[in-house]
Amino acid sequence: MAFQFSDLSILIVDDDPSIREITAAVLRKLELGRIDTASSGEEAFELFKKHNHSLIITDWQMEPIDGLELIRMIRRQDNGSPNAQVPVILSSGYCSDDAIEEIRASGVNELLVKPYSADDLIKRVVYVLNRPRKFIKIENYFGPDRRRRTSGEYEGPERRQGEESDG
Amino acid sequence: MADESSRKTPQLTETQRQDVLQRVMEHYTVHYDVILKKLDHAQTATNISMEAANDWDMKVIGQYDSAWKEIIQMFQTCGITQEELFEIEKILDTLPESIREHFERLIKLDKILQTMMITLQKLNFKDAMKTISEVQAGPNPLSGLTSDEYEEDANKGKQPAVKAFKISKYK
Repeated sequence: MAFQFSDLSILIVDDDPSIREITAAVLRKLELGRIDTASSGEEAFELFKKHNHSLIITDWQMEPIDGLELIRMIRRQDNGSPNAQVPVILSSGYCSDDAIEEIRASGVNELLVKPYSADDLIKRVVYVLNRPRKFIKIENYFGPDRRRRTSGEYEGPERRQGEESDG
Repeated sequence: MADESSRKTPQLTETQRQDVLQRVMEHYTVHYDVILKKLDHAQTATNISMEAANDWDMKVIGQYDSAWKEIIQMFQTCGITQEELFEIEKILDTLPESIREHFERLIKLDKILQTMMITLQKLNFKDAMKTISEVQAGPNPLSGLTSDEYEEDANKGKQPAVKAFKISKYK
């Protein structure tokens, strides 16, 4: 695939230094404009406020602020988050139904199931950057529209209550 | 947080997952550097063989010369996937005799490259990739999209870089 990445910046968040560094090493091969790494949710949020990255890739399991809490902080618009709609890819090995519900409610764009290959990572990054999703705001949720597939055949009324589109 | 028993890959512990991920990602970065070095040697070997080539050989060798320039340029400006690295390797493995002779000599002389190739073998890539393929085989639990759907979408409207070189022409 041929893509130009030189204008992009990515923030990688993982408390495991070996995974953090190898992920950065893979993405450096894409000739990205800027790559930052953070070992915790707190450090990541500070870096994001400073550099307003084009994309964030975060692990779920971290302490004291985990990946989902980091996403919630990013999606809030009253705490200095420079872009509440920044695309976020979450990496996790936990994929039970309950875990997926929790992930979906956090406002994440994509889930990368561990373990994954360099190609899975690269293709997911390209996918997310190529396909910006419409953001919606409803009572308990602000994040990318969770409806992925649209048949185009439905002609009935909008059933989601209280939706505001930010996309 | 989800409990251990309900993971998608119950046969893998967290440590195993991290180990497999680490090995496959490291394989990509080393493989990338190996292929780039090999391309450099292939370019030099092509130039050497051009000096002694007749008109017919020049036609064939000239195609390789253009291919190396295009592929190296791609490394400098675009994203190269693991799959594409293997495709480029296939071209390097099927060089015409007149280039191969010089190419193999240059490879043998490059001690850094030799060390990198040993590192690649030690990573046990095939076993790790088998595990990853099993994990990634089904639809993504969040989006419902398959690996193929992610790839198709990512490639929509894009020029598949290596395929653009019409590899079969060079074989």
